[in-house]
Amino acid sequence: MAHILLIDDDELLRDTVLQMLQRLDHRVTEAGCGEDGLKLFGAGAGIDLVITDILMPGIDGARVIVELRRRSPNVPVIAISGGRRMLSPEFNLKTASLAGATCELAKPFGLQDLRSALDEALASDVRR
Amino acid sequence: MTTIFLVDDSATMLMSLKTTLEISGFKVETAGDGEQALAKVKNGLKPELIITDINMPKMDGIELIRQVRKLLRFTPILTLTTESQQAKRDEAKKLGASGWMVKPVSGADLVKVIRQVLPGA
Amino acid sequence: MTHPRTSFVAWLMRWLRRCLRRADSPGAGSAADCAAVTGLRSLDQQMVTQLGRAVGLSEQSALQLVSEVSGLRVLSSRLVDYLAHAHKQSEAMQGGIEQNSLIVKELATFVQTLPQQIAQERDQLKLLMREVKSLAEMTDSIRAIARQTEILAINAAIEAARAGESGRGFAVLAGEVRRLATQSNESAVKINRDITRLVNTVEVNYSGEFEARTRHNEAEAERLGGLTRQLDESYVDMRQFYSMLMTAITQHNTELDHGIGLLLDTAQYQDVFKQIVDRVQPAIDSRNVVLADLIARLRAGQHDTAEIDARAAALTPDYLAAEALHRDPDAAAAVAPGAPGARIELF
Repeated sequence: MAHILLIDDDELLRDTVLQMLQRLDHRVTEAGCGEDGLKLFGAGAGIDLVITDILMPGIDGARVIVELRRRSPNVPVIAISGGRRMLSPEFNLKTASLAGATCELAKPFGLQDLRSALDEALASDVRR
Repeated sequence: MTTIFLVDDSATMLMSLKTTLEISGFKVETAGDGEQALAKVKNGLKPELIITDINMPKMDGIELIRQVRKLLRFTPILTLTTESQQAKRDEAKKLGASGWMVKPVSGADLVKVIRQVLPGA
Repeated sequence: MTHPRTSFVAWLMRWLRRCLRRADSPGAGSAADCAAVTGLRSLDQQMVTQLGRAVGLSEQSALQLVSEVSGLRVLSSRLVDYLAHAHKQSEAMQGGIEQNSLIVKELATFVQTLPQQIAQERDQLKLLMREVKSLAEMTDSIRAIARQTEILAINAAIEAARAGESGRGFAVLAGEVRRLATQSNESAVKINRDITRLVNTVEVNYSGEFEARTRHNEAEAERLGGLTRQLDESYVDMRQFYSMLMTAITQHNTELDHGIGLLLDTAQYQDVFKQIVDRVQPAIDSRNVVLADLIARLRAGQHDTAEIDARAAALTPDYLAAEALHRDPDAAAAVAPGAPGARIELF
């Protein structure tokens, strides 16, 4: 049972992931963009894990991850991305990894994929 | 750009500190002993800060501090040494040193101290 | 690949150990029981200990450096891997960029044909206006004919009233009427023809063809509007690509700086154990002086070595006292900063 911060501008996807996380018995706080996500994160107290999309209007997910790391060097971060016409999910997730993500998930993903990613991320006590 | 003057007879020390400080954005001048250091100051070098070892050939750090203070009254001088004699420390302080550091000092700590001694650097 | 200093230290330690062994070996005679020798052995042991420390520190430090360099290599290969992905991504985008220039060409073509189409439609409109004008003229002649027919009809009525006199006037009238009827017929046919032609013109220009062309243009505009949105999105994507590239590389550089900083910190230990080795030399010099004096004394047959014994006994405490003047780097780390004896003290 972890307190998870979920950042994604796609409402439909947020809803789906929220349901998956609740099925796995986690408490979820949502944000619709990077700025709100960072505001909700604050200094990181009380948040056990962050899941963030990469392609978002405003601050993109890679920059969000850099800022999260700056505030809390050990918080586990899962990056998710579906890509766009000109940007492949692979590139986005590789960028996220260099920015400091603990692990990456390509959209679309199912409950199993999410569960293994959560296990991997929560098990690591030091980032990479 | 802030200039820091490093004085130490160990080439390794000079090289590693110089690189660390340059990465942090400082300009660095060096000298291998007290005599060389004093000559540079007499030649017109005006650093914002001097960091010196104590045990050096030709002219040690204590003598250097004594001589430099005659030429640069307000420049902060920090020592970086393995020397642990309380007497030496007190003498350095009396002659006008601004601080006493024991080797080895991590790059991060060094930069922190420099920013304390030179606010705005 | 042994560092010259390491091999010097190794040689020194071997020599000191040999001295220790020699002093212990049987047949060394009364020299072995001599207090002076005990003093010298004690110093040798201390120097071996300190050199052992120096070697230990050196090894530790070397291992640390190797580990840090490995870390930097890992960082570096991560960046190389990432740049390979970025390159692939930029090649994929290249295809998109080429598509974009085709879209721009299409837009340009469409926009270029519009003036031509508008000119065409203007010409057709002019044509139409001409037809309509001729129709208006036609209407005038019809009215003229109708008026004449009216006048004739009135005349006929008058003539009919005077009919009894002579049928000649009536015949003339009948002829006139017949002529007028023919004229009127001809006009009617002409008008019909003109109206038909006009209707055709309208149909041709403003029904099927015109409507089709308009609908085609509207569809084209919408399609090109969609493509323009695609163009815009792809430029947004390209900007996003560069932004993410910068973020990743900047973050990499930050970690690289950090790693290099750790490396440089470790390099400082070189100086610490260099100094330990350097301090052994004066101790050995003092030792050799005492030893030389002892040998000279014994050779001269003088067995009262009390003074030399005292000097030998003082060697070890002097050496240890000198060593104590130099802070053990790891002991100093344990003290809180700012406290007396701390690593960094500001006056």
